[in-house]
Amino acid sequence: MSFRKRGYITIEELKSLVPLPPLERIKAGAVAVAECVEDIPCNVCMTACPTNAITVEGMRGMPKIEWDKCVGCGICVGTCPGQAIFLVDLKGESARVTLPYEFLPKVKKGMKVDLLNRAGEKVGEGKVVRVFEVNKTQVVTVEVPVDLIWEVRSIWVKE
Amino acid sequence: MIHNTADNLDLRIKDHPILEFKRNTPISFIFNGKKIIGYEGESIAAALWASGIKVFRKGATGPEGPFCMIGYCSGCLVEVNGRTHVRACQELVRPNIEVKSMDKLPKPLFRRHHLGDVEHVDLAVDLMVVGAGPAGLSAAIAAAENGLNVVVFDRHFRAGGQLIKQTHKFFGSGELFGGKRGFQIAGELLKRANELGIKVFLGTSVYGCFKGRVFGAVSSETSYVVKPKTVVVSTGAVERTLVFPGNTLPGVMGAGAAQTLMNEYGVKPGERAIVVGAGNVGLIVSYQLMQAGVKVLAIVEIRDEIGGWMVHAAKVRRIGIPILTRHTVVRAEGNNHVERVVVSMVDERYKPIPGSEKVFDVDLLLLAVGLTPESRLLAQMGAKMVWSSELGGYVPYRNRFMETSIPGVFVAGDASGIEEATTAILTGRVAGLSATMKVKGEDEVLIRERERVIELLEMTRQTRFSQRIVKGLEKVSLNVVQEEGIYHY
Repeated sequence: MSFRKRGYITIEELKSLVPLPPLERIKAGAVAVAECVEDIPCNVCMTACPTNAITVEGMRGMPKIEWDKCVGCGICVGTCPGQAIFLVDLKGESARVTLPYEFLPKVKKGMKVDLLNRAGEKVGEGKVVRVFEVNKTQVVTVEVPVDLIWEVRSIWVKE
Repeated sequence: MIHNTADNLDLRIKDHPILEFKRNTPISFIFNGKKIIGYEGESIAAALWASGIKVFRKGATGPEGPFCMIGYCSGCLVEVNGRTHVRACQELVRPNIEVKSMDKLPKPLFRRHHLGDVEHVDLAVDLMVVGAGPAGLSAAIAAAENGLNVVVFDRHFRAGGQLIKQTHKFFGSGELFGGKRGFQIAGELLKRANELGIKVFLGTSVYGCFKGRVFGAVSSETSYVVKPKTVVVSTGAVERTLVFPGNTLPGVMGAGAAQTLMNEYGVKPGERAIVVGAGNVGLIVSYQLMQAGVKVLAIVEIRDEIGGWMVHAAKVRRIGIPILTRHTVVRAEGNNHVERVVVSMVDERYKPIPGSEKVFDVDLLLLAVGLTPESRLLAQMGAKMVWSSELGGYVPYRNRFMETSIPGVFVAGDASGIEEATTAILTGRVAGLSATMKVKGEDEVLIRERERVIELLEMTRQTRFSQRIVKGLEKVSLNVVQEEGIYHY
């Protein structure tokens, strides 16, 4: 079953299609990962990146991220129209994933939220450690179990 | 969960993660003898739905309600203050109006009395644009920027077409409004049109072309006779339906109709939904439903794989919406509106497999199964039309400058073939620049600009999903050479 049948990409599929940042880079701090593998006529992330770490050739999607230039600010996470960019971060003892969120109730720092994987299944709970907004998209950083940084891609706030 | 029509039921959305709904003055009116509260700027249809009224009339096969919410279907026809055949979705709520169901459609559809007391206005303009969506506004802007006297007509009382109900951020580059939300793009186009002094006549339908290429347009107050030097037809598209038992039950509607309710008016279209079609429209509307607080139980897709971009599918999958590929809807059930939807697996020939049915308790069934270009005005004008399944239906032949077989008459946006808002904006610009040169003569700067826009258009069509469209365009495009005003095909 491919991502075109399933509706989401597995980490194995992603790895086979695009290079992912090495462990040392993720341990050094937050870095962007684009799960954008189709030729979407879009280069919004390239324009938005303040450190010019992202390039998109000829408006054909599939951004290339230079990990050394990426400072993990998360602006691309909130800007990407496909909501396909995430930050992964293994600096220090804990692990963090930064993801876009556009639902109610709005997320606040310190909140405990459900952690969901790409299939929408709950895989744990995590604390929100940072939130900011890009044109009404909340860019949310949550603490996740270390072994789940390649799994957690969504959150849900319990009402 | 079933809506009753209790007196205090209000399905209006108060808080939304993206949109703000400002409701000022409540306006009360009567529907079938019952007092209904609407708000300024709401259509009658939106106000009725917000009050829990889903059955607009008793049709030939049972209760019926709105399907398209953009003025094409007959599901919302009502009588307003004695005026029959009024589309409730295209009519603003006004204080104390008396709205009645049209349970029996009167025989001959004489509407002459509608024009009884209207004012008559003659207009002579360089360019008349029909349809104030992304294509039409872009055409009008391109022409007005180059000195043309432009008027725009739209049957709806709000400009911006379907863009105003798009809450998601658009793909693209900076020039193509990439990263902006659909309603924000509509806002920018409207702002620019205002700056340029473009006259936009809303709530005004262009109903036909007459001898001497004179057009008739009409609103509830005014009848216009328009004599334009050039015309851009950017009348958009209509949502398709599917054939299955129960498809006329209120609560079965097009994906765009739900977008109209929840994103234009802030009215919840239902509580629990099934969406048919995993193309971009089905995926995006499912996400928008969740944002509006409507639970989506599943997206049903008859084909083997999703039709839209994977990133749009990923957004709904990761919040727990299953996509059932190789499934289709087999029937909708309910007393006065949808209460249950039965879906089934299909075999290789897309036939439902007996015994594989799943039943969902939902009150909303959205059909996102494609669109058909709305270009009847061009057909009525005598433009040469051609069937293209790739482009969604009958479309006019056109050259690469968007000119139809009628000199000086252009087409843009979905009316020229189903694509999306970015290509609508670009084809609109091409049509607007072409109209400019038709009126003012060829101009090197404008030719260069038009070539640049065409290049941008071709670039956005380079993706694998555009291959079908490009194939369709090959069938409907003409290499028209103009020699002394004579067109050779």
